Amino acid sequence: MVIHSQEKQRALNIIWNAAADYAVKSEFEGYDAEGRADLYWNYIIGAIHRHCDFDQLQTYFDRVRPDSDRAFYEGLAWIGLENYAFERGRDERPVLEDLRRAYAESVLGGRRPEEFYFLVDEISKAHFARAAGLQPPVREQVAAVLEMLEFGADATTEEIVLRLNQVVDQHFPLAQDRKKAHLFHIELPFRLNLPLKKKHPGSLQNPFLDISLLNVFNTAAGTPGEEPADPDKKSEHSRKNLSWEAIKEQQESKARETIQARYGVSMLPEAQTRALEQQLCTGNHKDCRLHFTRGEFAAQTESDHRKAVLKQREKNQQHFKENLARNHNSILKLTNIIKNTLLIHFEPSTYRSESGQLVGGRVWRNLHLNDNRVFLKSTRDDIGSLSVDLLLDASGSQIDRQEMLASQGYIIAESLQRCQIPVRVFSFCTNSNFTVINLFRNYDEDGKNEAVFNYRASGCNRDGLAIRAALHLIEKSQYDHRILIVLSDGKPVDPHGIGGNRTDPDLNFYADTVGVNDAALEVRRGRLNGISILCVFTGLDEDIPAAQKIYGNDLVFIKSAEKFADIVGVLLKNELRNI
Amino acid sequence: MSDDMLNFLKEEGIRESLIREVARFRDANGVSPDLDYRIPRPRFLYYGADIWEQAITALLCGENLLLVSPKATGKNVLAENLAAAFGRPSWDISFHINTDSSSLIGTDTFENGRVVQRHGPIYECAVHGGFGVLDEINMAKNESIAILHATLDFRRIIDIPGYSKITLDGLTRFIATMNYGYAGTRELNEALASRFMVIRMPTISSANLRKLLKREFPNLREKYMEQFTGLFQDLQKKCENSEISSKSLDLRGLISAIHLMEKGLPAGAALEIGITNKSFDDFERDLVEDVIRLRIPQAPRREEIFTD
Repeated sequence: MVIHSQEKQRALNIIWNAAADYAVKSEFEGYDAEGRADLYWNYIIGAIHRHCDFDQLQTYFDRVRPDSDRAFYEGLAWIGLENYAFERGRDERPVLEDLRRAYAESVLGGRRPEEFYFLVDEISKAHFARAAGLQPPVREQVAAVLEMLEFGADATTEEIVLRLNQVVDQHFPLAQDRKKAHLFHIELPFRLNLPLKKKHPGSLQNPFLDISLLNVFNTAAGTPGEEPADPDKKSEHSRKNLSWEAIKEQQESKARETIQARYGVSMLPEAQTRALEQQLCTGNHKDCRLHFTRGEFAAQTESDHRKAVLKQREKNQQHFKENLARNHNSILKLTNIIKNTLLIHFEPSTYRSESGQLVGGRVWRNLHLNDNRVFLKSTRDDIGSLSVDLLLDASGSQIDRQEMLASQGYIIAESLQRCQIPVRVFSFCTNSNFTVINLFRNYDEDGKNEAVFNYRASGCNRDGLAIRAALHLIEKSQYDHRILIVLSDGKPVDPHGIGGNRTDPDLNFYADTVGVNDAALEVRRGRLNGISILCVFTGLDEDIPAAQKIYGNDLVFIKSAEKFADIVGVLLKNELRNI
Repeated sequence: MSDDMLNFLKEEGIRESLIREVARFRDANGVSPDLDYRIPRPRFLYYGADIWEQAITALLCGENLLLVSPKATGKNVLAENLAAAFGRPSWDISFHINTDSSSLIGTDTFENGRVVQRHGPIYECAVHGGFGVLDEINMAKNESIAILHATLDFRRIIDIPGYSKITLDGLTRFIATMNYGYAGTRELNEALASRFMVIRMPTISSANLRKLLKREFPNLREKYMEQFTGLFQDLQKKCENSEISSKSLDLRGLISAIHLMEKGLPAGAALEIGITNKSFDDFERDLVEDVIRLRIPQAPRREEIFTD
């Protein structure tokens, strides 16, 4: 079941609405079999957050979490919680009765393959049959469980947790306690092991749980067609494939893993990354690799890199807070400059015409001079849609200025957002032969500018490839006018030379003239394609000429933090005027 | 009508002394019969005693008002109510991107072979001591309404180059409204903002919304009154948290939808055209629909919603 991000957002919205609290972070969300957010269940989840002390409830969920039948225990708890949330909300929202009835009908009328049986289904079915006012024949034990589980509106969270634990202890002991013989367990051995997530429409599931189960399945259990599990056969199998290509492939995967551990998991499927590499890593960047990430680390990664990112984030935020007044002022100033510039674009140009708005004072010209142009016509130029991409140089040469750069990136992004201009922020650096593009916020992610503080400098910088990759992403966007602002020290450095020519030693190092020329070429190419490229220079005075060579006149040098907004404002203003 | 307004103010719990002053203001300043039609007869009443007191006091002191608030908070209702309470003729002037001095003060026109001035609404309002409601003042360009600076500050004049210079009637007041955050709105520049007393209007409270619905729909059943109020609050909260835009947070739309239900349209359809469809984004519509479905059944019978 694929859950689209929109449906996830919808589910969260229903939960927030029911919880009357938009800060709730729910571990649970409800989806139907097609992956659509389930209105009723998400309401229940939200209502539980509203009416219960979820931290207390969490003790139950934490208790069952290590168990292999976790999904069953969670499902069991939600049956009881559903009853509670419904009872609590029925007066406030009379529509719940209709929604519950509709849901009960879908459960009772739901068709499931005969070969599957889920204990939790039996309980759930019995519960919803009772909810629908039916008196279904149920096994005595199920009735006993439901008696304990169906919490009334006056139950306190403490009582709920207590009773949930009692149900578990009395009827379905956790794995470690299962040695004790039990009615259900004896009758239905193994049945509890079936995951709740595959059950009828309306199942509750944790999307993360889904993913982790999937991963476990693929790695531990193996999938058909994979290498044989027998170690002897395995080595034989491996030997057969031990070709140069295989070694290369292995090394490449290893390198990709290393880069992912260092900078975060890839945001693109590997096949897509490779396709992009084929397209972009050509010419001077032959043999280079790309890594697109959002800086998110896999849950199991506990690497130093991850800690370093978090530490740098704290430092960046601290630096921003220390200069809060100044930064805030810069945002306001920059916002105003951009807004005013855009306003000027809306300035209508008026001219005399033979039609339009009659100018009374000119009518005499028509009578006496036969001048028909006694009307005023005004036209307004629409500048069309506009987007800005912000590319931050995250190479080691910026290491002393990381906090400043993060603040500057944030200020620009925030100002643009306030002007309702879509903005995307990413950083680039190069490590080994990988050029890493770290996306902090995308065009549509308003309110996520804070992610810019995840900026951390390390490694080298292959400006040409980074700009090429950024331009490629920009070219795919649908905006009429696109601006790329690069915050860089204009000093490309990468020990990997220029592909295709290994004889010239100068070309074996991507720096100085070679690097500058290549980056300049990419910038010109982008401009030819109609993308405006600006540079906010963040390096040392001595590197200004190189940066000028790359970016031409569209470059500004920030001499003092106080002047940041004004200077960037002028840069943007000039660019917007040219649109 | 104005007596009704004063009674309403009493019911709202506005200070007696203020009400007395409003009554005195009104009694002392009659309106000529040919302008009587311009005194508003409000269909909706503004609920919120604090805001009422602030506004009345400012107007009594001769100040102009700028009402700032998000959508659906009753800016225009209050402006209209104020004109009615003070018993003054009112001129409604909607501002837009092309608003300029000629559309406000007046424009040249040709009359009997001569170029003469045709007066604009601001001029008329100034001469007759009316209440000018400058609706969505921040839609206009700051430069083009700079002409109002002298009108709105202590000078209280309108100087029309080539024609005349007039002084505002002592009873003239301007009440500007502005919504912060609509597409197309802009910052009001300081020069203009400093000429107003600025009232930030809160979003409507549940209790006031209930009062409003009760007045508008006396036959609405209590159960549904609660649900419609809750629905609006849910949407408001969603909007405050930026999960949806303010397009669907539409009090006018909600009231119109209830009117449609009263006429017999099923609740689902009425809310769809009154609220959901105000948004043109598919996903946003889904979110709004979810909120509605968690409050209102799709097709309740009319008699379930209304008592008659």
